[in-house]
Amino acid sequence: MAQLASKQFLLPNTRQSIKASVQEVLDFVINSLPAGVNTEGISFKIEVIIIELLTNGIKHAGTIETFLDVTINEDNINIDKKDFGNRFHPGNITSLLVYDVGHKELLTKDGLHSMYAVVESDTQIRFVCEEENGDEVLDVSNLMEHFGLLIITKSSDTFTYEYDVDTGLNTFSVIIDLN
Amino acid sequence: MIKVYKELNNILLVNLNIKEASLENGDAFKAEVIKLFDKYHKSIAINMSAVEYIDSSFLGSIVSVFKHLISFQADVVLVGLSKDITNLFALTRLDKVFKIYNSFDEITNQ
Repeated sequence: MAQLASKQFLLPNTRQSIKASVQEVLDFVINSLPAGVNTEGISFKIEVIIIELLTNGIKHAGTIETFLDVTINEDNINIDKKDFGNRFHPGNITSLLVYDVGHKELLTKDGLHSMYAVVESDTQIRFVCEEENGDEVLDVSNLMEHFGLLIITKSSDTFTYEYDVDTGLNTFSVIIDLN
Repeated sequence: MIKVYKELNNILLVNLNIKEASLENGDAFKAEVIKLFDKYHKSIAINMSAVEYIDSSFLGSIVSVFKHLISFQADVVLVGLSKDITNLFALTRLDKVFKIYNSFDEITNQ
């Protein structure tokens, strides 16, 4: 798989800087895309993914800066958000990584979606979103109010989280297929 | 952040005057909408045409005030969403939850 472009961004972890950070990354991606790709569709995905990755970092990581590695390949875009901040505990679960590979843990559920974390290895989980079929009357009082993980999962083709116990490195990795 | 545009019999039309709807102002938005509801006791239509950017935190605040008003048999209606925000509501399937209009006229002409 041919790599077309790659860049590491060091971005401030502040609310005020998100818009400028998103534009900086978006400009790089759009200018690096292979010919024939639907730029408008990709722009929307990149924008919402970067907004949510950075917002998640501000909420949970507790670091001053965050690294964003963006790689454009012929077939996909790979975005890795890295920080050495607090370990991420989706769904307030102490550690999903103690489960066997393939274990599927329900994180949140309402009448529209179910969000799961699937254990991929002893250091990595993958987020999966399933849409509810909507046959039943929607219970509005049960609607979720946290959409960050859901937005990233539904905007990408693969979304994983990896924690390196030895170094304390958190890596959120997003892949968007271009074909 | 929120200015009342017009009070109708059954609904209050308000303008949301922010460009960036984010983690930074979600709680303040929620507090202002609930304060308005406590004063007028009617459904609220929020014109979001000035909003250029919205994140998941603010989306959560909109859902939170919607759930609050629904519990009092009132509604939150959204107006003037940009293309990207419309796409975000479709992605999160919240377009199945909220009544969404292009303009206040669409509401008043009903």
